[in-house]
Amino acid sequence: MEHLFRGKEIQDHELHHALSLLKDTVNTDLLLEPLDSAVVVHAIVKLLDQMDYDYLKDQLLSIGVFDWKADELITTIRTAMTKEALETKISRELGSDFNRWTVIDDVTKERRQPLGVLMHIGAGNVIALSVLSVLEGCLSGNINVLKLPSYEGGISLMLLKELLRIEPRLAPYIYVFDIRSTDIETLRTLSEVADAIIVWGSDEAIAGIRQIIPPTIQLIEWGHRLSFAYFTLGNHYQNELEGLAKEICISNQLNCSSPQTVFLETTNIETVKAFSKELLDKLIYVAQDYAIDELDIPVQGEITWTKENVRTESVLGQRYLYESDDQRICVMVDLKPKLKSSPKYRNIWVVPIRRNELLPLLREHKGHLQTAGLECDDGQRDALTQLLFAAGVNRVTTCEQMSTTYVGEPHDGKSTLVQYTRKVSMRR
Amino acid sequence: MKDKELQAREVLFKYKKIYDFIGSEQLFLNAVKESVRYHQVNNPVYHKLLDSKGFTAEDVKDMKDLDKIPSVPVDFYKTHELMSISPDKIEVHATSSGTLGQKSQVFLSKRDIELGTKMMIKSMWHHRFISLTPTNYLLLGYEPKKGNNMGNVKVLLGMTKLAPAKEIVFAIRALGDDYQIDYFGIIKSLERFSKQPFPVRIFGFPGYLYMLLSTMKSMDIPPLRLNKKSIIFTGGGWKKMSNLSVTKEKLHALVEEMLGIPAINCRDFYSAVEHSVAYPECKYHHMHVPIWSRVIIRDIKTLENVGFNQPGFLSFVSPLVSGVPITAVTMGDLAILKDGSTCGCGITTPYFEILGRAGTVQRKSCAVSASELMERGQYGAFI
Repeated sequence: MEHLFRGKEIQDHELHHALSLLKDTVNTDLLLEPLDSAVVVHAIVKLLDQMDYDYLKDQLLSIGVFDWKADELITTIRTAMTKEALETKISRELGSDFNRWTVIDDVTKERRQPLGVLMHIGAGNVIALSVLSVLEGCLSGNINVLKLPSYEGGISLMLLKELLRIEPRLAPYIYVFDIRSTDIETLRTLSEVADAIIVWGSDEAIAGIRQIIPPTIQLIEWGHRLSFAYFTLGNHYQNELEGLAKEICISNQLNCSSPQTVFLETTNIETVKAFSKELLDKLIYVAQDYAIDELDIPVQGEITWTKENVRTESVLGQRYLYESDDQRICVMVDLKPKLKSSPKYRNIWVVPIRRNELLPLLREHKGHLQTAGLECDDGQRDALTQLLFAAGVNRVTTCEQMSTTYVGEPHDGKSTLVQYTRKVSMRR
Repeated sequence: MKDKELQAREVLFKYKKIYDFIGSEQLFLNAVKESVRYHQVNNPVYHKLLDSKGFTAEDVKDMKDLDKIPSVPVDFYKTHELMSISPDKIEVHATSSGTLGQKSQVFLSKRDIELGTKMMIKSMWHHRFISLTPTNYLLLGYEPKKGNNMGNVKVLLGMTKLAPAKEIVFAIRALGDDYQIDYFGIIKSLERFSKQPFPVRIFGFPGYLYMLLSTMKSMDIPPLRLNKKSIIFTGGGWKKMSNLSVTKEKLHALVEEMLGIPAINCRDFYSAVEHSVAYPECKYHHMHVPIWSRVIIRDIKTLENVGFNQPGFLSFVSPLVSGVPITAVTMGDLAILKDGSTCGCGITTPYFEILGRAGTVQRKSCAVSASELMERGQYGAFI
């Protein structure tokens, strides 16, 4: 196992000694001049310029990412990480006075500055998420200690090593440790130098970290989320169904922003059935451009299990199943209004609902809500959007755009870079 | 049709050689056909289910028709109460174990219980688990408590009748509405048992057994040497402790190290309240299928019968129960079926191996999963 200590590669047998030096090393580096975000931006841009994208794609394919998905990921990264995009992100999120004093009165001034040391507990859920987390930590001027996720295939480490090769000035700001999630002792040692711990992952992962971290260390949680689509009846939805189908196929419903359930504002069962059949047809049509392989046994098992239960219950008229001939795509109807998680990979719930049921139902999941793909006529958009925000949703988009972000977009209602900074004040 | 009129079932359960598929095959077929017909007539929901697939009992003609009997996924019994007998005929109302989510509701008539008990005794006799020697028991399961209908409690208590009980110790104590494992109490009891001349029988979840032995080891508690006729019966799977699960070999080695019980006396069982036939391991740790049921492994995508040596959903066919229509059920477990003819233990029927649960997936996703939604609110006490 390989680790990075202050930007330098170390092997497993050196880890124990390195950890004993961590506190002193970090304490010394905290007194360095603030890290100029321009240095970070420049390094990121150069990294992307010099990247061997064929090699990166091979790496992605080797860990099971589908071909068109690998292309899409690479495109997304390249768009989000141009010089202009990064500078826009910094200025939108941190403003123009980052690391600069703002005068309050004759004796008082304030400044926004880095938190200090961030510990990142990476999740293998999304490829290279850990790198992005560390890059955001660097852009906001922090020292970053990354605990690598377990199932990532080494991509984050590879990218960070390359970044350091390009820009050695980033060395004091990057530590990477490849340790097990069960190594509580080492996790505690790492957390002792942190001003904040950034956790990506499931409720279970977050709850686990909460248990072992003292209350004096800030916890910044980017947890799993539950997103959904909401359709009202009307002429509009014919087109939007294709947009929904695209989002479902491209994301495979794996993103925190992907729809798990589609709410249809109606009480008419025949309308629900007709809508579901149309959605299935659209999914089958769109999926032709986004082929995926046979799924792993455990993943397929969950899908089949969910479908089979729906199929059995359909005999009693409480649920319905609409499935493609190859059994790879399905729409499941549940007549009981509920926000449900789907088994993913082009298997989605459709649920009829009355508008006055929506808010109380969504509030049951308030900590998990993120994106609502809203399809309605223009006259209803504002009222519905306000209702969704009141319930706890943070993003309202069209269905097609549910997983599309813009530069500087807040994540889960928070500006990421601001989260990694603090405001200090000084009085003479 | 009253359940005492299930004559074909009576004949099957009278058959003495409990692992003789060939001799009992026609009896099994007759009993299954009778069971399907019985539930079709007595249970309107089951009738609808069969109708929806265009299936009737008459379609059960020979053994290759077994996989065509509509197999009900067990979650259905969590959300529907499906009685095929009148409520006053219910002798036992059993539920599945676990503390999260809904539980499967299974209803058993008096005759179901009697036959099930006979089945257990025959099985335990075959595997030489019946003894007249006074025995100490450690039950790594839930203490009986009013309102606790969990099937496994009843089964555990039933198992203490196989050898006369000198003392029974429960590991999971009820504390108000909650249950907690009393590790300290367990270790003290085992130490006491090790000083007595009686065999010890330990029953329960493999996860608790593993935790117990690991705790003993990490606390430097000296290994015990229990009576050499002691037996460990594990069952119920690793459940919430799946991240701790170890191989059978590792668990057996730990048992031998800390308790002095050899691997040959460590027997796992598969049982599920929604199926009701229990499958003890033979001495080579294979769960052979007895004459009262058949195992069908179903394709992970299509649910078609995959035969031997392919992983898939575990499903069963059995005519044992009349109280609820569980003649053909599909479990949420993934398993593989193997040819048992070369096992060497003396039993030649096929055996199955559990591979894990369907639906507990480490997925590359930051969207909330269905299992996470179910477990919401539990995380105050997770670790």
